[in-house]
Amino acid sequence: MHDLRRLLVLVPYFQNNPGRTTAEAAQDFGISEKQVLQDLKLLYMCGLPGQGGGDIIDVEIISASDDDDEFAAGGEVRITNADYLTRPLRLTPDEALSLILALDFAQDIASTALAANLASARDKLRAAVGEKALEAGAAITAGGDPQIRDAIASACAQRRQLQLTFDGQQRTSRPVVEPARMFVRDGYPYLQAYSLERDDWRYYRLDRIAEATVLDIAATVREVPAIDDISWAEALPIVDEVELTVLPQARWIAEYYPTLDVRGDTIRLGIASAAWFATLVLRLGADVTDIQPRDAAGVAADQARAALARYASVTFGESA
Amino acid sequence: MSSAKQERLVNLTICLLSSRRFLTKDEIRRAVTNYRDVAPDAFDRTFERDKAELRAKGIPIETGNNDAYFADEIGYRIPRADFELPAVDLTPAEATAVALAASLWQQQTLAEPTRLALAKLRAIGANPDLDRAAALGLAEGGLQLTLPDEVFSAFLKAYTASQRIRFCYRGQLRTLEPWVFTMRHNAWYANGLDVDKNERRSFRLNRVEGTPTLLGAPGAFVVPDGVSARDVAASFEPKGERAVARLAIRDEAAPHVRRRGVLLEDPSPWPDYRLYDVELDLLDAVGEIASAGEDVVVMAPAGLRDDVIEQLRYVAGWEGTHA
Repeated sequence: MHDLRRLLVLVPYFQNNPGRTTAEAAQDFGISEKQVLQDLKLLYMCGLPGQGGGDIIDVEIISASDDDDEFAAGGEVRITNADYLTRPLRLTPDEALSLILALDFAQDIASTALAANLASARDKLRAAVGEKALEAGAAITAGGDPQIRDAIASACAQRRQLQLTFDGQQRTSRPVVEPARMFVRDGYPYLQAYSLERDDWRYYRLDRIAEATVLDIAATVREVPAIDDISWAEALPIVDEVELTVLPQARWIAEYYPTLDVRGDTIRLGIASAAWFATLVLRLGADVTDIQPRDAAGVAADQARAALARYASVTFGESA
Repeated sequence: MSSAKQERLVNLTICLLSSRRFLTKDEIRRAVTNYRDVAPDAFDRTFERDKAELRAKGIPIETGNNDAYFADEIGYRIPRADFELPAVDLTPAEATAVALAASLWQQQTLAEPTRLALAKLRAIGANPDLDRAAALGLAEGGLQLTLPDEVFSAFLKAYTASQRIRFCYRGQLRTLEPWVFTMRHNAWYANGLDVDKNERRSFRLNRVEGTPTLLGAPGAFVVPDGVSARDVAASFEPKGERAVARLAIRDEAAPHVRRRGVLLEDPSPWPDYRLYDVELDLLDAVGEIASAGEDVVVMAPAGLRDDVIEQLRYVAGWEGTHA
């Protein structure tokens, strides 16, 4: 399918990059080479008013092979006789928005050097496409300390092992990993790395990496598995189902966590881990008015009793 | 869309772009030979539709007269300065950085416009070096967002065309002029003028019910100067009252609390615990501390300690006889 926006970019693209091939254009525009050829054929019918012999855009494909078909794939493209279209259309609002959001996200997973280039590119783009278009989108992610990302990027580039200090939900651990890449998933930045202790691939949220030290030990060359394309929150296996009845101020949990069903103040949750559910029950306290089945609250109650025992074993200096 | 139509639209664009003066409909009809295939009585309608389509694609069409004294017929042209992307003088390293960022989008609503934006930058000479980029530790195709895609596409369309959008939100029908988009904690927000309330509002896109519809004509609003998505994002940050508490935290436990604290030298009640002074958001402090169970114990202030103990007693009651 032809696309007007693309057709109007192809003309300056080839005029300003003489010798660019149909294959390169296919890659740059994210379309098939066949589509590039079809677009070029159409442009060959277009031109100045009258659209007669001397008016039309001149499209030439110089093929490596001596093919009779003048629009064969694989050749270098030359577009001439289109001086009136040597520059592309300005960035449209959706193009500016999507580009600026991508720059925002990249900034949060970039090393210092890359981040500096992203920032200066952003400033130049702002001057060229206008302030307003580049203020239209913002992505706020927490990428953590840029020096940690530098350590990760350098370990990736030099293929070295990395000692992490990683703050999990409940505890800090110190795994030695072989880092593969950084990416953003569901709005959070991650490191994909091979954990030597677990002997498997793991994802580490960047903002939870407190320290990263490049070790003087070479990393094994491994095939990096593709990042799964389903939402992780939904991908965790559900081990239990629990129904919580909450006071209105705790209804936010229905928007925060994946739910199975919500009816008024009664929220049905799929539980992937009993430890996580205990954390939730402890956090909400008296905002939870009922839990079904009741034994789902067992772990939380045990932990609450252990905590109360701690308080009972200390004499606090001051009075309330 | 048929190629005959695309050809006509390209020729129309070139015709309006290469003329300095305003062209009347008659002149356009003669200049763009594709209109010869359109029946005479259908020309007006076809031309109107073509014009609307060009505008929807972001092509600026100006209307006016060449002669102020004989303003009998309106004419059209595309002002070159409004059409052309000005020079963006990116260094190869900057071009590479932008290309790398753009490559992060996967098959989402935003992937296609990003690719076109990048192709435009290439068309004005910004050529990235993607072979060198691989060493930077960024995953190509590594940006994945859970977008409420159908809803987001509709809002993006409304934003692109400056058109009002109507949608159902928490059971109510709302009409918005979308100005800016913000993503925070994996949730997308559209912010703009709520037309019915005549107030600036934010809407969380995954709470939009059903499919939104576009209302009225494109070009219905202009985003006011100084509106910024970053400012909207900043306004979401909680601004609760804060206070410092002295906590005993077990080694390696509760990192989200411990990292914010200042480690103290004072002896703690238990060998595997240490004392920290931690600044807490008072709205959230009791829940945050209670959620760590016995790993975090409040030493002071007494008021916070009593509140946490009360919460723990309530939770301990789940195994007994809760009301």
